[in-house]
Parts: sequence; structure tokens; C-alpha cells
Amino acid sequence: MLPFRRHLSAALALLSSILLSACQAENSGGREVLYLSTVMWAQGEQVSEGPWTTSEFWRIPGAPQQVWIETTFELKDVHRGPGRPLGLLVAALASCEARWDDHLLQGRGRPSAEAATEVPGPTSQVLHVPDHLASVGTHQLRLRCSNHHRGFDFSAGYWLLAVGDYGRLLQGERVVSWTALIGLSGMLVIGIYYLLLFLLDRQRRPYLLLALLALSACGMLVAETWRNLVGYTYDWHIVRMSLIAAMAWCVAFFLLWFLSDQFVLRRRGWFRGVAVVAISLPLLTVPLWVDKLILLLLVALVLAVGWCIMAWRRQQEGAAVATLGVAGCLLTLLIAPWQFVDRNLYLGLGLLLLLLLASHARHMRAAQLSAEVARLRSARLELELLKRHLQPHFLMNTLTALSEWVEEEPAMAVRMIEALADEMRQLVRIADRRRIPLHEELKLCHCHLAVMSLRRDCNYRLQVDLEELEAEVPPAIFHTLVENAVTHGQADTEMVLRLSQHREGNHLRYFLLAPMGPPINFAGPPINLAGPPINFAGPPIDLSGPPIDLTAPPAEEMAEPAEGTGLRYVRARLTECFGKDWLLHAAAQPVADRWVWQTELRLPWRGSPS
Amino acid sequence: MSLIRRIALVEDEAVVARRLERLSRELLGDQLTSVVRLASLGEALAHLRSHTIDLLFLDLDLRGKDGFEVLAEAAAEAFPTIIVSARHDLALRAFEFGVVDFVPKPYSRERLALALGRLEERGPGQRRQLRYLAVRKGSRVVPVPLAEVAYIQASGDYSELHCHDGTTHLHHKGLSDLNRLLPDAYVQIHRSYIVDLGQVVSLLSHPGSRYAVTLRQGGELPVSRQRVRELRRHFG
Repeated sequence: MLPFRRHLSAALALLSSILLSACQAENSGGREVLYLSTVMWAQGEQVSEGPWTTSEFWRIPGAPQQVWIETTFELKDVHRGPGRPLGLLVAALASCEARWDDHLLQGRGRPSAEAATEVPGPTSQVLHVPDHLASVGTHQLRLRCSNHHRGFDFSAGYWLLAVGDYGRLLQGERVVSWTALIGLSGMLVIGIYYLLLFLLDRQRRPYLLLALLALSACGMLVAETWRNLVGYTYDWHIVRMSLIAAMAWCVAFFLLWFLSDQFVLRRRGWFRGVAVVAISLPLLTVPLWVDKLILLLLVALVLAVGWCIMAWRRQQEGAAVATLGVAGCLLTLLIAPWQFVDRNLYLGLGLLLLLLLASHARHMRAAQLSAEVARLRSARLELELLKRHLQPHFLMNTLTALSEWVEEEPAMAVRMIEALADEMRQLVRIADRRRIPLHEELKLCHCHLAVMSLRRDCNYRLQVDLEELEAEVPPAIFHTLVENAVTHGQADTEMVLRLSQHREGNHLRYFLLAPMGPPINFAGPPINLAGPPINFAGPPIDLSGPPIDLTAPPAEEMAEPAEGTGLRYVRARLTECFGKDWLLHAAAQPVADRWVWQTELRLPWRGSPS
Repeated sequence: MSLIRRIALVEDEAVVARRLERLSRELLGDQLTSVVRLASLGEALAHLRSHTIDLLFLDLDLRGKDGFEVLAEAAAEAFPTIIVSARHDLALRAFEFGVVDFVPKPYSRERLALALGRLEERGPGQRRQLRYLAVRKGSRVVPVPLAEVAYIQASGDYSELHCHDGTTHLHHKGLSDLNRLLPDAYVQIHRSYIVDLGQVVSLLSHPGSRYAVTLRQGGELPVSRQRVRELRRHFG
């Protein structure tokens, strides 16, 4: 699998779609649009019912009712080209009926004083002003609007009233939809692509999260562009806005989930809990739809930036790129917060998704690399373990002992061959596994001690005292420690090794005790006075030298085994199996009348961080 | 080589040591009076310092420790050393210290017989890779690089190493024992002298059928009559 290339091409596809949409320049036709921002309005069933209020069009309250709106304006040449139709744009969450100098303009929807008789109109429509009415000069516009079908949403519902070239007004509605549409298609492709990847390999949760993130963003953009793209009657507005809000929440949720999944930091559960509450609060508490969305996205992006920066500081692979993406999106939001949802959303989300893909690709590559390294290390450790038994010291001494028995005591030779076969069989059975049950490991130790007992003519035994027999360990770690103890320890007729295991919470503590030599005779061997001839011409012998320290381990034979290949093998295996969650400590300890080599191991009881 | 009466064998594996002892007894027969088994380097060093032996069998890989410390001690002594080891890769280094033979484990009775036979003869050149002569200085053993030694003079049972810079060292092996270990370039020219042929400038014939070689560093060494012909061949 070559995920990096695939991610790269997917990212390029998205990038090109974003660039293409950004190139969509706003169309300026050369003619002006006359915005009728200041109007007079009054409530009531009849026109005569006052009182009349003068205000901006968008300040007319949105509570469900019937409203009368009136305005007088001056139409100039710049507002309409010769021979071109004139249009009136009414954008409001209401059914509106427009009268141009007392002539009814044909439109959709019919206002009424009663909810039952009202026919909901589109949230935005461009009405054609017949040519004979569209003369240069003063005109009066009268609107009758009602919004009984608004649902629970009582935020401002009157947006825009404008007069201008019919075609231009229509086109203006479309510009936004084009750009968003292109960003949308890119995200859709990404979403479907990652969903397919996930379906092919269910183990890869990041694929699913990325797919859900992209598809949520798609859903949000679809809902967002729905108005300009398809149009709908105003009573559907609340449905659309709820959909946008839900999708925005999903975007925020999957973004934070993906990031906290990809970058593992401390207190992740805590972070996720806080994040879910933090992105839900704006939806429940803030009154205006736009404010809800902006605050939700702001909170989500700030949390995401924080998490990414923490991961970056811990030098996690891909964190820098992810930080860039999230921070870029946040910047897009901060530059123009009130236009973000309508205009910059696709750009911000596109940038975010693009860099998240790049970050994920880096992360994946790093993960694959380390998996590769781990596989190699496992193979090397297995080889090392098997090689140890082909090493001359083990193999050749065994063969020499066998030669002796073949000549002198054939029955013993057969016993030795059996013991050796047992050890080899057990060794081959476990060598290629990453962890094995403790009893398998102990069997290997016993087999090895049987071989060594025969070879050394000495009774080697291993006493075990275990609490958790079901524990698992990497293969041959105790075997290696036992082997070391037998190699370095000195024994004439018997050596008893002790292995104990205690549970401590989620960890198991092991102690392996191996006597390093025969009991220390403090009376010491008789001093050999017949030693090498004393050189009388030499410097006087200093008899006042340092007192002999009987508490120190005897230097010569019982010196601690050096950090040889054995211990290196054990450490490498433990790291491979348990990551950093293990502890190994080995030292000589005086126990009763002798020095004992004590190896202490602390391992996780179950499972591993990987 | 005279009779081999006392053998020490340094070997930490009981059965392996038993084999060595049994085969030695079989091969050497009645002349052998004592065999001492030493299971560790410490025991070996202590024993070598305080006992006289005629032959040492040494395993170079004892309890994970390097047996070269013992080998260096042994090389300074009068007795010959035969290495019996699983570590075939250490053979070359062992020969540099001047061991008589290197018997790789596992071995047969015949292989051990061959090694004991080499105590009496001068082996083929590739076996004589001696590069250091270990010399005891007080309680220490100092390796003297063979390349610095111009000639060796018998000194009682011991040998005196004469170096290019004029210094001399007393080595505990006798001249004939050394002759079995030294490379081809070292030739015994007299009952009491071994010389590095590379240091010989000319062969002189003195009145009265006395012969001598002159050395690069100056001075003459006597040449016995039996060795003259051999030496002449060298100088073509």
C-alpha cells in the first residue's frame, strides 16, 4: 500500500477545485443596484392600521404577523440599462406581495392575516417589473408580508430589498452558489474516497473519521447553498438552518475526534468531554443562527489549534501540518466572521481538510515506518535468540560432553540428546512470537536447566512462586536471565534459582534470585605462604592498607555479569512488547550467607500500550 | 620435552573436563602423576602462581569471561600451553601468545594425541604465529613484541631476550621450548643462541673452524659447526 501517493493525489484534486472556485470573480455588470434599505412599516390586517415606523428593512421584527411596508425611491438611468428588464429583489423569511405604483408584481407566495390562508413564498425572489412601469423617476413600492410559518425561529427575517437589472440580480444570487459548489464537489470526492478506504480496511479508524468530517462539511455546504441553488419557500428555512447547525456540529465533532485520535496526548478523554460540551453550548444558548454557527466553529477551531500545538510541541508526526490547517481555517474565520458561513466557509474548510489529509499522510508514513522497524527488530531478535543456541560456547561444549558420554556412558548421551531436543523444540516453538504465556517460558527455562545440569554435572533447579500464571511475557526473557545466572554463577553440586511474581495493581513484579557462588567463608581460605618469591629488593609491602570490606561482593568470580548480549536482548524484547512501560533492575545482593544476583522486573499485567 | 607428570586443566564444564582428563590419562599413561581441574580463572591464576606443572590445557571462554588473562600468565611460564576451546575464532590470537596447539571442541582422542605430539616437535610454520613473548616482571606479566627481539640466549633453564635497543628480558621457557614456538625467521644457530635471520649481516669463519654471525646492531654470535651448513643455505 502506498497511502502517501494516494493522499497526495486526493489532496491535489481538492486544491484544484478550491483554486478554481476562488478564481470565480464577482460579476460587475457596470450598472448599479438600488438598495432600498430605509422603509416605513406597520403591523395590522389593514393598511390604515398604524402606527407607521421608519427603520431599516432588516430591522423589521420577525415575530409571526402580517406587516405592511412602504417606501418611495428615485429610479435613475444607472439602475437599468435601456431595453433591459428591471427586477425587484425581495429576500425575506416571509410571503411577500409587492405593489409597484399600485400595480401587483407577479411573484410566488401569498401573504395573509391568517396562517391557514397564507401561501409560503420563497426566501428570495426576483420579481419582474414590467417595462411600462420602470420609467426613470419617483416610484412607490408597497409590500404586504406575512410570516406565520416561521416555526420557532423569531430572529430577524427581512434581509434585503433591492431594485436593479433583472438579470444581474438573478446572477448575483448564483455567484455564491457556484463557488461553494466547486468546493463542495472536492469535499464530496474526498469523503467518498476515504469512506471506501475505510470499508476496504476496517482497522483504519482515521479513514472513517476523515470521511465523516469531509461528508459533514459537504452536508453543511449543501444545506448552505441549497437556498441559492434550489430555492425553497420560507417555511423550510428553519429546517435548513437546523440542518446547517447540525452539520456544523458534526464537522466540529469529527474534526476534534480525528485530531485527538491521531495525536495521542494525556487527558484525551477529558479533552473530548469538554470539547463536546463546548461545541454544543453555542447551539443551545446563542439566539441568532449565524452567531450560533460562528461561535460553534470558533470554539471548535480554538480547541483544535490548542490540541495540535500541544502535539506539535511533543513532536508528533504530522502535528505541524495539522496545526497549519486548523490555524488557517481559524484565521479565515477571524478575518471576516460575519461572512464566514456565507462566503469563506468552503475556503476555510477546504484548506483545513487539505492540510489534515497531508498531516494524516505524514502520520501514516511515520507509523508505517515504525511498524517496519518494529518488524525488522522482531525478526532480528528472533534470529539473535536462535543464534545464541548455535553459539560455540553452548553448542560445542554440548557436543564435547556428548562425545564423552558416547564413548563412556551411552545411556547418558541419549538422555542429553533428549534434553537438548526438548529445549530446541520449545525454543523453536516460541522464537517467532512476540509474547508467550508464562508457563511456556518456564518450560523453556526448565529444559535449559536440564541440559546444563547434565553438562555441568550439577543439579540446577528453578523454584517458582507465581500469583498470575496467565501472565504473558516476551519469549525467552527469563530463559536468558537463567542462562546468564548459570553461566556466571559458580556451583559445585547444586544451584537453586528462585523466581517469584507478585501483582501490584496493573503490574506484575518478578524477582529472579540466583546464587553467585558458594557460601562465603569469612574465615577465608588459608593464606598460602608458599606463594611467589617475595622480592626483597622491592618497595616495602604496605600492611596498613585499607581494611578488607566483607560487605562488598568479592571482586573476582562474582563480579556482576557485564551488560552483555543477554541483557541487551531482554531489554530489546521488553521495549518491543511493552513500549516504555517496564522496568528492569539487576544487582548483587547479600542474602543470608552468600551473594545473590537479583534481577527485578516490573511488567504490565495485561495488554500493552501498542 | 621431558616427561609430562603434572597437568592442569582450566575448564568450567564438568563433563568436558572429565573427558579431557580421561583422554590425557589414556594418552600419557603412567608418566602422568597428577591432573588438577580448575573451574575458574581465579582458581587457575592462583594455582599457576603457586604450583609447578608440565602442561596446561586452557579453555578460553570461561563463564562468559575471556581466558586471555590466564593465557598471558601461562605464556610467561616454562610449561607449554594447549588451548582446548569452542571459540575457534580465538585461535589466531592464541597462537600469537605462543601456544603449542589449539584443539577445537568437540575433539576426538586422535586430535588430542596430535596436540600432545606437538609438544615434542617443531610444528609447521602456520602454527607458529608467536608475536609476543610474555615476560614476568615482579608480579606483572609484560608482553615483549617479538619484532623487538634480535636474538635469544640460553640462561640456565630460562632464556634471555636481547632487544634491538640493548635491553634484555628473562623469559621462563627454555631455548628448545621457545624454538618450537618461534616463527621460521628465528633459527637456532648454537646450543645457546636463537637469532632473527633478518638481523644477521654476515657469516664469519674464524680460525680453528669457529664460525660466527655479525648482527645489524653490532656484535657477534657463535655458530655451532652442525648449523653452519644450514645457515649457509639461508644466505645462498
